[in-house]
Amino acid sequence: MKNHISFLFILIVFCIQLVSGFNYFLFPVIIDRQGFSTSFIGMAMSCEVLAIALLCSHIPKVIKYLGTSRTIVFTSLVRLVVVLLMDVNEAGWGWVIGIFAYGASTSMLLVLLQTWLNLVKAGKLKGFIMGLYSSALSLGIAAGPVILQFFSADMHFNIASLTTLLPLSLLFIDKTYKPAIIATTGIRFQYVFDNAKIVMLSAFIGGICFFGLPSFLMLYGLSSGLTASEASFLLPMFMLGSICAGSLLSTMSGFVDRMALIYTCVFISVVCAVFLALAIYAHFQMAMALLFIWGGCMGGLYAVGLEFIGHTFRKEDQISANTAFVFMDASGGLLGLCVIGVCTDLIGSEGLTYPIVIASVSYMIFITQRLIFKVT
Amino acid sequence: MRSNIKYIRPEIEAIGACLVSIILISVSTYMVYVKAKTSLIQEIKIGLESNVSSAATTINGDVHRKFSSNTARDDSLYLSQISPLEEIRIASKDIRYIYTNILQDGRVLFVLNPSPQNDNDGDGQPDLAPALMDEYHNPAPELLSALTEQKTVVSEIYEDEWGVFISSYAPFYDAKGAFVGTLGMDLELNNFYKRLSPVDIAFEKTVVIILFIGLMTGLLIWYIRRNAYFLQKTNAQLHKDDEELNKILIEDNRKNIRLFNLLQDNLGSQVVHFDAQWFQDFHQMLLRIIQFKKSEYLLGNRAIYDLNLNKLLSQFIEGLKSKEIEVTVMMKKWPEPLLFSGPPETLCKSLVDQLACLLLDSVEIKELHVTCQMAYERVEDCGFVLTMAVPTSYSVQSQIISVTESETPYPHQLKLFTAINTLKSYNCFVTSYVKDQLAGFEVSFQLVKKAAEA
Repeated sequence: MKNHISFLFILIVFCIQLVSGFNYFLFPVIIDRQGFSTSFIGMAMSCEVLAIALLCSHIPKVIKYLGTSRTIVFTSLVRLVVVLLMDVNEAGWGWVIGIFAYGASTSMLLVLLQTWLNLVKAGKLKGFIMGLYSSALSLGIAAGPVILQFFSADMHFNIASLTTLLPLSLLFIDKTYKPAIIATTGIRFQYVFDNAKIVMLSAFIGGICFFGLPSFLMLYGLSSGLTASEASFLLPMFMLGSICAGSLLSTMSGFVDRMALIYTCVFISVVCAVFLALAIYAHFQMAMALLFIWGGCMGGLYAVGLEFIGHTFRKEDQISANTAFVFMDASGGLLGLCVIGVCTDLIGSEGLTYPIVIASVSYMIFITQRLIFKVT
Repeated sequence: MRSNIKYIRPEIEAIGACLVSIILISVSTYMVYVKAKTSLIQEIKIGLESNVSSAATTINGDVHRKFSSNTARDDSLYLSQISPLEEIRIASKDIRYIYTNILQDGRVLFVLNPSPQNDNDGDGQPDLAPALMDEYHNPAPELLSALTEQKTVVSEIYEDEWGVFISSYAPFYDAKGAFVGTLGMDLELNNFYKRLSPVDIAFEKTVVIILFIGLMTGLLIWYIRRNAYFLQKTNAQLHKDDEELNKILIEDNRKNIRLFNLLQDNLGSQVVHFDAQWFQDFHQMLLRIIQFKKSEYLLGNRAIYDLNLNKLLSQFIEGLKSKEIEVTVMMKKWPEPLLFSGPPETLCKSLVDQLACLLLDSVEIKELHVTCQMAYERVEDCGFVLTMAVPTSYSVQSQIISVTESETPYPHQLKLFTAINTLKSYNCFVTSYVKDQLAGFEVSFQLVKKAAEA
C-alpha cells in the first residue's frame, strides 16, 4: 500500500512540473507578445530559480507554521492565483512578482513532497521510486508544451489552472498512510552539507547541467555546424536519457553501493561532457549517444542523491536535508546559467561545455580525494 | 632488515604521471596533426604540378617567341595565346595567377599574363597585369631554378601582400623541342586554410580530451599509489604493534599467574581445586576487568586483592542498568532543541567528580574552570568535550599530568585510573590538558541523538 502512495506522490510531482512546463512555454510567448525585450524575458524567467535560492531557508518554517495539509492548500492556491493572474497581467513588475511567487510556492510544494516520499519505507524499491520521482521532474517540464498543443490557445491557462489544483488530492489520503514529517523552524544547511557533502555537490553539478543545457544546447549544436533539425534533437535526447537511463541507475542504487554509483555517474558524465565537444563536431550519432548517456548519469545522480539523503538523515533532519538539496540544485542552476552565458560571450560556443567540464572535473577530483583519504 | 629506500609521495607520482601522459599524448597527437596537414599540402602540390605541366603543353613555343616588348596588349595573336590560359585558370579552382616567363640576359621577364590583378593603387579598378617583357624583380628561387634547369618545380607555401600562395613552374618548348620558357601558376591557399579549419578545431577540442585523459591517469595513479603507500606504512606499524602486544601479553600472563597464586593464598582451600564453573566465572570476570586498558594497575597492587568478585560484577551490571545521561542542547541560530542520550548518568557523574576532586586537591586555590562544548555533530551521534581545569604553576601542572602518564602509580591514584578507564569503556576519552597556567582534563563524551516528537 505504501508503494501506491509513493506512486501517487510521483504522479502529483509530474502534475506540478507539468504546470511549470506549461509556464515555460506560455510565459515567454505572452511576455514577448506584450512587447517586452528578450533580456526582460530572461530576467523574469530566472526569478523562479532566484525564488528557490533565496527562500529555501524559510521553507521549513512555513511548513512548521502551517502544517503539511495547509501547506499543500496554501501553495496550490498561490500557484492557482499566479497562473490566473498571469493570464490577464500586462505589467512588467507583475510578471516578475508572479514568477517569483510561483517559484517560491512550487519549490515549497516540491520540498514537502520530496521529504514525504523520502520518508516512505520502500526497501529495495526506494531507488526505483526516487528514479521515477527524478524522471517525473524532467518529464513534467518536457511534456508541458507538448500537451498544450492538443488544446486551443484560449484553453491554455484554464488547463494550467486546473492542473495546479491536482496536488490537493493528497489531502484525501488516509492519515495512516501518510509518513509523519517532523517540521523544523529552519534549515541546518551547514550540518546537512557537512554530513552529505558529496550528495549536495552532486545536486549542484546536476543543477548546472539541468538548467544550463536546456538554455544553450540548441545554440551550441547550431554553432558546431549542425542543422537546425539536428540541433533540435540534442536536448530531447539528454532528457530522454535522464528519464530512461536515470531510472535504471537509481533502481540499481538499491542493490549496489550508492557512493560507487555516484562516482561512476560523475565519471561517465565527465567523459560524456569532454567528448561531446568533439563528437558534436565530428559525429552526430555519437553526440546523440553521449547526450543520452550523460542525461542518464545526471538523472541517476539526482535520484541516487535524493535516496541517499532519505536513507542517511533522521526524520528530524529530512526537511533540512531535502531543502538543502533543492537549494543546491537551484544554486547550481543559477550560477551555471550565468557562467555559461558569460563564457559563451567570451570564448564562443565552447562556453557551454568548458564550465560544465571544469565543474564536473573539480567535483570528481574532490570525490577521488575523499575516496582516497577514506580508505587510507 | 631496515630498508633505506625513500618512497616518493603519491601526490608527486600522480602529478608526474599526469604530466607525462599529457606530454606523450600531446606530442603524438600533434605529430599526427602535422602529418595530416603535410599530406594534404603534398596532395595539393602534386595536383598543382600535374596541372601546370599539362597546361604548359598547350602553349605554342614558336608563337611565344614572336612576342616582344613592342607587342600591344590588344594584339590579336597575343589575345589568342592568353585566352586559353585564362580559361585554364578559371577552370582550375583557386588558381589566382597564370603567366609565362622567359630568361633573357640573366633577367626573368613576363610574357603572357592574362590573370586579373589586385587593386594595389586603390583606384577602385584592378591594376594592369605586367606588360610584355616587364622584368620580374626578385623572382622566387623556384622560378629561377625552373628556368635555368628547365624542369618542373613546386614552391613551398609563402605569404605576401596578396595572400598565401603556392606556385608551380613547368617548362614549355617550341616545335623543335627547344626550351622557350616556363608556365607559372600561383594557387591561392586562403580557401585551403578555410577547408583545413575543421581539422584545426578538432585538434583544439582534442586538447581538452588530452588534458582530461592526463587528469584521469593522475587520479588513478594517486588512488593506487596512495593505497599502496598506506599499506606499506600500515604493515610496518602492525609489525611494531605486534611486537609490543607480545611484550604486553607476556607481562599480563606473568601478572595473571601472580594473581592466581595470590588468590589461592588468600582464599585458601576453597579454590585449591579449580571447580570448572568457578574457573569459568572467574575467567569471565578477568576478561571484563582487562577491558580497561590500564587494568594491570588494578591487578598489580596487593592492597586490593581482597576484592569481592561477585560484588564487583553485580555493581558493574547495576551500573549498566542505571539511567542514561540525557542532554538537551540549544544551539546558536537554531531554535530546535537537540536531544541526546549517553552513558549511565550516575556512573559518569561520580567518575567526573573524581577527576574534579583530584584537580582541586592538587592546588591551593580552589578555582575550577569548567566548560562544555559540542565538538562535532554527525547524523546519529554527537561529541561533547567537558573541560575541567585549575589555575596552577608549572610544577603542579606537571605533577597533575604525570598522574595520567605514570607507569608506576601510587595506591591513592588507583581510583583515578579506574575512573578514567571506566569512562573509556563508554567511549568517553580522558586526556590531560595544559594551557595558559591552567591544567586539567578534557573528557570527550559521545552521545547518541534521541528522536524528537512528531
